[in-house]
Amino acid sequence: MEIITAENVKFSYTTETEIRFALNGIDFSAQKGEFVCILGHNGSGKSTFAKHINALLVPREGKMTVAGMDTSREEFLWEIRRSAGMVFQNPDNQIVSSVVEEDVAFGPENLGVPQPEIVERVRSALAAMEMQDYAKRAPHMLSGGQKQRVAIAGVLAMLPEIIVFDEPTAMLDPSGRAEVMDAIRDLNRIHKKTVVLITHYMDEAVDADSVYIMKDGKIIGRGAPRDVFRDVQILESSGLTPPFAVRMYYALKEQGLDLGDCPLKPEELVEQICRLL
Amino acid sequence: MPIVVENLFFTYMKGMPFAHIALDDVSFRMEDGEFMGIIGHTGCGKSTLIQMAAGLLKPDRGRVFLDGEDINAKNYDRKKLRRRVGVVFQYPEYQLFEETVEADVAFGPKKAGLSEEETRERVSWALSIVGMDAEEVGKLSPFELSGGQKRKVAIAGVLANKPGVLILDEPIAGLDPAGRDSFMNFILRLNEMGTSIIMISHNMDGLAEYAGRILVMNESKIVMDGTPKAVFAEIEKLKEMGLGASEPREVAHMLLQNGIGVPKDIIRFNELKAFILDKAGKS
Repeated sequence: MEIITAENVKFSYTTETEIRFALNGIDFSAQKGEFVCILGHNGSGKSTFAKHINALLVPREGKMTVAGMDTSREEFLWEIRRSAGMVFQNPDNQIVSSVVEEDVAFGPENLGVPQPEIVERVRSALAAMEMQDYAKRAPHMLSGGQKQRVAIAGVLAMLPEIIVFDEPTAMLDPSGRAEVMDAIRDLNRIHKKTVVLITHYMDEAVDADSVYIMKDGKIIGRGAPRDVFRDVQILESSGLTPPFAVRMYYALKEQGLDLGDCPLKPEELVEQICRLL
Repeated sequence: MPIVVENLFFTYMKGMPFAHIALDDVSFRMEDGEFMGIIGHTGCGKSTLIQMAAGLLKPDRGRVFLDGEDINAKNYDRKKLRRRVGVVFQYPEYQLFEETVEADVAFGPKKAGLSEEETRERVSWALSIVGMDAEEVGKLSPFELSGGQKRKVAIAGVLANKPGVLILDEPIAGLDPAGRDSFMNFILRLNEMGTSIIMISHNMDGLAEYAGRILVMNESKIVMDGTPKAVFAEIEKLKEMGLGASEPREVAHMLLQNGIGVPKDIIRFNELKAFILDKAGKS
């Protein structure tokens, strides 16, 4: 079942002097339960598109639906926002309370969820993020990765079907990045959420079911990571750096050493090299 | 102008329940023209250390010398420090404040008392270093620019004072790969022109390519200090601290665990490529 669809979506930011199309005819779809990754360099339009998924922005042209609802119809606004939660880059901008569990309760409280159920939702959202031991702590005393997991728990407590992540690891150190990426994968695999991950790290996309590559407000490539990351033309025109294993594969091939199938992960590269040597 | 840091100690919220030791007897000496990376887990004390090296925080104990002078001494002329040591914090684009790019970059030299003409020259020089044209962008509002461009303007503002030492705290966070590469290249260019660089970074691949020396901090202490090759050779120690090495070194280590004898000093992409080609008899 298609849970997000976009047909020829266009959006422009208008300044005094010019009209700049940030989205220039986007076609997109995500299935329920899918892990979709949108890749693109700074300014490619990927964040603008992310904001269309929970109707923070609505298309100037074209049509966008989320869980079957047209995002341009105002009567659906709150239901869309509840269905599609969003997690941003900077955890500090998303935390509203001085106690972790109160912060996670903020969303369901605003939805008017009865108190006993809020308690249960907060408990299970924190458990899903492995943050239950921090329920009474102050968010500002946590590490970046932990803060980001609190922010995710806050979205999770609103029971969305879809969670959109807009560069959620950009401000984290490598161990914080790994923590948050594990949490995102669990949300998809264990908790069956539809995940849309916006990033410019190609290696964060290798586990996705499907990948879209954006450039200048357009989709220039889509498909399974294995297919998209092997398409040299797409990679080159995207302005992104392919995963290390892919780069090494092509560099060796250029020198006449063919490893066979193009690997995506370091472990796969190592395996292929071992087989050869 | 060498920087000498001697036995620094610092505790945040001293005497409070959340008191936290940020620096525990930290010392190093940095010579002119070095490119030094600092790596470490969040909370290891690396940001505190650079704030002290820049004279923005005073140590509880210990001393910092710039050019042989104690920067925390009572009679020290701190203007000297401000002109010689430039600091670029994380997300420097948030520090922009002027109405035009030109005015923003000119703020430092103007405050340093340079004439209008000298200031203008400095502005176009600083903008050219970061790959921007003063004629083209000078009159624009910095807030109309893209994220990457804003960051360049903010850094040009620091460079306009021609600091001999440039300290950068995770300068490439949030930039895309192309932005990262061009940024690292211009830092390298500055270094080749004689500017000393201290750079906190999680980008191990970048440090493997460009830095001459890496300090590793863990739990408020410097635990390793050496060339990238020497530091990344100790990949297992780094992993215990929740850190890692450059990606080529990580893969080389995995190959070693699979019985392929990769030397420990392979830390760069081209080095690993050459090794594999050689082993396969393709070179």
